[in-house]
Amino acid sequence: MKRTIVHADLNHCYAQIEEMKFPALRDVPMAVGGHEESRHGIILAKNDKAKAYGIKTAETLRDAYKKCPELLIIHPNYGDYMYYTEKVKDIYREYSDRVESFGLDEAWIDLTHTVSLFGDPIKTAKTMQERVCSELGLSVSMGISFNKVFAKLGSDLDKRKGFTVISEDNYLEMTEDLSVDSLIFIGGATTKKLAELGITTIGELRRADPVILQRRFGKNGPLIWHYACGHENSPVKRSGETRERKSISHGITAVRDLQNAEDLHMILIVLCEAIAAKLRQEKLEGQVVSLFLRDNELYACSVQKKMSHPTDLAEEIVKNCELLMKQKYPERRFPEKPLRTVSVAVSNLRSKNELFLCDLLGVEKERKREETLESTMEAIRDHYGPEKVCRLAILMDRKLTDFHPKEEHLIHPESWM
Amino acid sequence: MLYKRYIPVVSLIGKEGEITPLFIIWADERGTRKYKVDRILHVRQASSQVGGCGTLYECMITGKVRKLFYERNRWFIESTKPY
Repeated sequence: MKRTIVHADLNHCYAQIEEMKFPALRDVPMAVGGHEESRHGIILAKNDKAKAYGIKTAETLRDAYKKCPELLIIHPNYGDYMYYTEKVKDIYREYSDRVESFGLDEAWIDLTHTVSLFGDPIKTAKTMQERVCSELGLSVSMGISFNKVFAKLGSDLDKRKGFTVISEDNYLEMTEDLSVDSLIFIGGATTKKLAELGITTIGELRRADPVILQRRFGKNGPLIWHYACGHENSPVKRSGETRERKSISHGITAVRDLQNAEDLHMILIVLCEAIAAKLRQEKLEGQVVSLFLRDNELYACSVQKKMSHPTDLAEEIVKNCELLMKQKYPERRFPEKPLRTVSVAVSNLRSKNELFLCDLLGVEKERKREETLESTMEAIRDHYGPEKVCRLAILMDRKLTDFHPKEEHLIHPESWM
Repeated sequence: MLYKRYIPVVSLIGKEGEITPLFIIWADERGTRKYKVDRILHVRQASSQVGGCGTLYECMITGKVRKLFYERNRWFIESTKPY
């Protein structure tokens, strides 16, 4: 059966919600950005007036002010963004049981089976778009197609409350001359590599030989070729169905630059304890630990390693992070330049294995003790507050370690795969 | 020109959770008074031209049609006076 899938995108989401709350913001160049004082100074979203000045998402506030000195910066109100984006999705959910969120501001909606209830799916989509506008004062652009990839492509074509239909009859001509990076999953690096093969448009990608693509990109080669040909057929997930977790991570741009391995150690303890608590809460353990570092000149690097066994213990994650540092910087266990941002991720997750392994060296017993210690500390914090119990090491600089990754509103970007 | 003015409202929460505004409390230089909501003409979800969105109650108050919004957890009215 021919499917009808809508991709709805709330354009420059954070900025638009602020404008809805305070319409006067539409008349000035405005952007939603972090706090410069606490060093989270980047642009998260901007309005049309700010865009006209060439202000880009993710650039620093300093650069943005250079382009437009009178730029108005609004600090993010994540509670509002979560509330209103959920309200938008509630409207979609009145029409279909298959509404799959993709981040806060985007969603796929499967309208294939709604014909007998609401009639023509294209009209239904139009109604949803109008309702979001009249009831919430927000504009969404929509793409309608027979698969998720082309639906997303359609919603990106016209960002101003657009409504683009890419059907089986017109998809060849509609996508022929579009740049390859308008397809989901094709980013900067892939675009560059495709250009080396002489492929810049979706039409050219369609005519390329999947075998050559496979040689160049591995299993992703044929995948992007299928996308270009319109073969993608993954289902839209039911509302409430969550994506399987691939990793758990926490990071921080510290209040001051980290100068040495001791500073880093303190930050690692706070981050890893939050990760370990999350792992235990979801009854998971992970075997790969990755460390992401950015120095004060914004040069970034990341390293990762596979641990000898999966773990959900903060102690072991910290140890492995420090081993990574030792391998990368054998002399000082710290880079030459002071560090600004650190984040830790644990991936390769699996359900926690409750079986007690054959314990020849008494290691398991020791781990069990550590686990009891960590979960007890966690229970005390949950009950009485995060500051009630901590490891001594983090008291060396309370200002530096006074953040609570677990409690922060974090909205993670989602990945397609 | 209309302004967004948050105001206290005496309201009734029914058995099913439905909310009905009964009186609005209006404060200005002449003091604080309460006005009866005489009739509710319409109730629907809507966004407001003065910013914000929520449940719109179009009401008759002292012979005039007023737009009263229940926004998340508080009330505002589209007012001709800024404060």
